[in-house]
Amino acid sequence: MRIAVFLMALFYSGYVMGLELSGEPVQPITPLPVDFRKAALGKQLFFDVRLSRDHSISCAHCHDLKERGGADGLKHSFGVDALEGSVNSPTVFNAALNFAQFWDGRAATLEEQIEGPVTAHAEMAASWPDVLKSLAADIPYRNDFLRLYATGLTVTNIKHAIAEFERTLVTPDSRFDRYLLGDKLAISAAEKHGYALFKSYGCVACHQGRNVGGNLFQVLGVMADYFADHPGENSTSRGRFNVTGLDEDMHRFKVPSLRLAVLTAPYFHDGSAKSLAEAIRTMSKYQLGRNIPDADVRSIIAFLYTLPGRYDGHALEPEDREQMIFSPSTEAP
Amino acid sequence: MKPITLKLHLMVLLVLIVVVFVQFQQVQRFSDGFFHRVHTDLEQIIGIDARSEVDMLLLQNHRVSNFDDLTADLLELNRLYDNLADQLAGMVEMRDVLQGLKATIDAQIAAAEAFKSDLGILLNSQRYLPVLTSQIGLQRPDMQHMLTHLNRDLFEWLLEPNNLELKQKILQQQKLIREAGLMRLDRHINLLLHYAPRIQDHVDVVAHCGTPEIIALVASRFDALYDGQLRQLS
Repeated sequence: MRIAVFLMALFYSGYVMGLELSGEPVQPITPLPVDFRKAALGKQLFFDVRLSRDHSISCAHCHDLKERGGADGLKHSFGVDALEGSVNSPTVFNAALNFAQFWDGRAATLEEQIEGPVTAHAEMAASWPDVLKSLAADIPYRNDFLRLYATGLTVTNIKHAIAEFERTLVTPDSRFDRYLLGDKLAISAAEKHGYALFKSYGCVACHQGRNVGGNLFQVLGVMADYFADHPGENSTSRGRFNVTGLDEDMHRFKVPSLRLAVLTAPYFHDGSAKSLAEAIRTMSKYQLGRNIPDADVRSIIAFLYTLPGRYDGHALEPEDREQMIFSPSTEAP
Repeated sequence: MKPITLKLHLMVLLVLIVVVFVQFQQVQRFSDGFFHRVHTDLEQIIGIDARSEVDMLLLQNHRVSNFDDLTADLLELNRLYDNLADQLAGMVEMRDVLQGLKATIDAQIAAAEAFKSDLGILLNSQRYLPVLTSQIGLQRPDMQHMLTHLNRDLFEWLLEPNNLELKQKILQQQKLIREAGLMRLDRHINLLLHYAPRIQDHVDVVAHCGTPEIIALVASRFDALYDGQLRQLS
């Protein structure tokens, strides 16, 4: 009887806390509805080098799901013929939760996004007729498509299958999500303090929602001219201006998700920030217009370590805390 | 029969077949299901339009602290429009009202996206202003009094942005701030003065962009066409 009362009290306190936290700016991730047979086919395609012109690289080349949190750890990615791309590869994890794709949001859906890397000169540099031809020569592939799609192996269906796989790449059940759902002990007091600072410094004004970002565009350089201090970049630095042609969209970018941030250095569209500490300092200068002391930077990073969830039965949160080790700031407080 | 007459007969027959085929397609299109689907889409657009306004007001009043709901509603608005445009594709008589609806939805989405971005900036400066003024006050006790007034006036103006007299007073205080070389504070004041009215403008655009009116126009045009087709068919 006592045990039952204890368990009910425990459940009730978790429920009440979950309710209390339901209004928080950061919200837990819930898995997306997916056709798992199509997603399995999409997974094969994601790792298939025949999507590139010379059959040398696959999507996974820039989106390493095992070691690099769905990105590649490089400032700019390299495509076929070792050509260097013009932007930093964002993580593919939780990309399905973003409201638009690419740094400039030029693709509205994952399906639209796939067009970019497959055909881009400095990425996979393929043409769809060639991709179709090489995949059609693979009988099991052709049969799988015929089995799953009424129209069989087509460009549209290839894109859909890959997108369907990407919709499985969400990372629910992070420690922070468990905390939001009422598990008081899922994060430490230091991590809670980091979250409080994340909110009070204003990081949360852009990095909020279930993806901790990925749901708005924001100008880079609200408080100071980022591009004057980081010259020599390419046309991608114009951001959303490249899509709309509107002056007000100059240097405006999709706010990236921070869910996997601890795993996906370097940061920003240009990959200029090598560590989270550097990224936080840069954001505090150019976006918030204030200085964040090192101790608070460390606390915010501690909070960010609670955000990666689970994928394929494995926790993505790294055991080491290498991002917490950084040199003191040289800026005056 | 001469070959030329035979060809003529064949051509007339072909034209008749095409006419019958087009009529058949029209009958298929104007089934009860089609009427119902179009009206469902129109009603859903009105519903999402209203909901996105509520989303913005809740964000503006800090009752909601993330953009997920608003973002999802804007994506849904676009999807519903695409769905409707697909259904009405090929109906030339609907083209101009559909273009009008598209322009309205685009304006609404642009305003809502700008709202999200601007609100993020405004909230940061609003959040930081008391911290910054108290930090400066500690370093510059001679400015403490003025900073307290500035803080209060800005707070009041954000609640009452049409108060031009108050804004004038803030601009005078800002001049002193600039003369004192407090550039960071100056920048935050600029942002507050710039973004607060913009945010209200974005809300006004979404509230008054006329989606219900254009939807009523689309619905009445569609109904008239549908009635006409039914009469023809009967």
